[in-house]
Amino acid sequence: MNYRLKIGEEVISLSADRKGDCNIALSLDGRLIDVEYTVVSEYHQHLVVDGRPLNVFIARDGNTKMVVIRGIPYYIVDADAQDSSSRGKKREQVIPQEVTPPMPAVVVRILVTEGDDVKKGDGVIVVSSMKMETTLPAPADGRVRAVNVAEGDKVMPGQILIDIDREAAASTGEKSQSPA
Amino acid sequence: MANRGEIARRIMNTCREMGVATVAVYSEADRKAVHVLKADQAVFLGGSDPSESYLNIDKIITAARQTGAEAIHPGYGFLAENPLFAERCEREGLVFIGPPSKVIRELGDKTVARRTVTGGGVPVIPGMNKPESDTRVLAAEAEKIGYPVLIKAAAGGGGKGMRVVSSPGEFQDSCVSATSEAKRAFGDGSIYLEKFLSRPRHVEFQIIADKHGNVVHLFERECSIQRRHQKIIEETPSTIMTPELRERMGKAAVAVARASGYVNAGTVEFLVDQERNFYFLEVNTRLQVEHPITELTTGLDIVRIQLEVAAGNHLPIEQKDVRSRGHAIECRIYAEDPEKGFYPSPGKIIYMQEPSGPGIRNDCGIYSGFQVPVEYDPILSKLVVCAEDRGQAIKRMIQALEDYIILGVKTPVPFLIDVLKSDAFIKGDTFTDFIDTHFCGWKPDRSDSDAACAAFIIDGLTGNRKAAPVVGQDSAGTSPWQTIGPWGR
Repeated sequence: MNYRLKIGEEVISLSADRKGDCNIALSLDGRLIDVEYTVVSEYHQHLVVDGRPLNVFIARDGNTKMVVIRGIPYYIVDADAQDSSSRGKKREQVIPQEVTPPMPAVVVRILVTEGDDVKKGDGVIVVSSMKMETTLPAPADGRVRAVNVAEGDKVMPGQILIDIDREAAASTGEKSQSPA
Repeated sequence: MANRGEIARRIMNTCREMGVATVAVYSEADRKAVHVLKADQAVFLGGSDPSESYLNIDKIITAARQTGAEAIHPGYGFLAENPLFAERCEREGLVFIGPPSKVIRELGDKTVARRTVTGGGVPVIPGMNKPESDTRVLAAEAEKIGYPVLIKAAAGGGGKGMRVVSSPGEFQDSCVSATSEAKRAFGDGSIYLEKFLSRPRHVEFQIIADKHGNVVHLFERECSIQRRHQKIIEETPSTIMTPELRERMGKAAVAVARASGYVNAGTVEFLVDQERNFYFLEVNTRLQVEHPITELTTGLDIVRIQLEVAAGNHLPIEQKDVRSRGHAIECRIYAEDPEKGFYPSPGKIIYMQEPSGPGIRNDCGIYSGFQVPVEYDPILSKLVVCAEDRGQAIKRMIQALEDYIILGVKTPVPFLIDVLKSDAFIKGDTFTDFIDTHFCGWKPDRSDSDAACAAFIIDGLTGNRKAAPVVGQDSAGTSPWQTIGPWGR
């Protein structure tokens, strides 16, 4: 069976053949890798990779699996599954388009008010997660249309804290140099 | 136990050994936290925000009254260094397991502490001796001290409200954000300035005093490896220590305790410069996070001595009886992402497996299935090892880290492994700028990707396909975080 697996930014194409009950052969970059395995538990596999024994731990979140080997985490996605489910969305994930916290947080200070003009990268709101304060930037040049939260509010990733109307091609020169 | 998580649990362990019954307090977010599960009794305080629970003096005193508690241990953080809390305990006839409120107040105000210890003949870092709120006055002081300067919160430590300012242009903004952060963390926004020493080492001495005028120190801890001015690796003994320097610094630490009328356990922090001059930094008037390394090398249980001293007993040891053996290292395991500026990574612990073996101790505040709350400090546990010498302790820690499995949140485990394996650390080349100097833009060595791919595929073949929630997933590309806390690069 053929796979395209994405680890971080790297996509690895490989094939796997089942050789026995607890044995697979991986073919990767012209190399053949022999893997014997014991599934110890839902989260734990014991592998012997080309004769080298390893304890491997694994947890799942949708398409992504977190694999930990000797303390090092690998985040692996099935690139084929990802392409078919999120084609076209990729860009949005890469460039922050909205003022939203990347993790649960509490609003500490709001640095702008409605009608303010902001430049891309200006700090617009300060949030705190696990006692650490962080300033979120304006994703683009524009004008603050609405502040949707108040100081002290608990906020979640994806929640738009501040709406910013993007300047409609006010300066085309600037537009072409973003996104960075 | 006016605290939560790993430290509450650790203190309860000693209480149980001593036959002392324990009462936990907890917030909404902590209904299933380790300290609640461990205690003999647990009292619900209120909402998850610390002001409604762990910082709420009235509620904690009421809980103590209701349960008939005789003493309160504040742990570290929260109310541990709040003189109002200690004073309230004193007034209510509850034993506060820590120094008298007057001592906490005087040493807690870092500027008063500077004046007190100067009187005791202990050297301090050049800087201001009283807090100031007028930014114009502060700016003038900064000019006088000379850039770079360090803005510090008068009321507390832990990097909160701290900013390095290298030029006058950034000064105003830094003052505003330092004040705001200090106010949130300590309920007091006063700040002051010190000269910023470049490449110092952070070396502290554990002290403990009884009510009868006896003071001992339990040697030093080296705490120079820090990120965002928060310690991440501590060890004892310090690699720069000589018997002569230890003697002098130990004496200075005891002098600080005597000058301030100190009682119970505390930590005297010093900065040591390249020429091995030392300067008083501050006193932490509480049990220190990294106290376990001292316990492992001295064989003493500091919490037990705290309880004895609080009960009015004499110190069980004299200075000449205090011995240190071997070498101990602590690694702080936070819920944070070492690949992205150590920003917090709260979430659910899907699975965990603690290391074990000779000389390994894990003071742990989590378990499989625990939801790490966003409201509190991101510390998950403190992994501590002790071995015959430093080289062995480093190897033991690397192995313990490799065996420490935490799935569901990001942790600095892979980062810590690389630090411990690095030549700079092995040489003892540990300064407070260690991480920026040697590990800026660090990424782990992902050389086992073949095995990781195999595990991914086997997991699919063997039917473990069901999606479990919240593995911190990396979305590639730019972080939306403009600055990562006060020390973002």
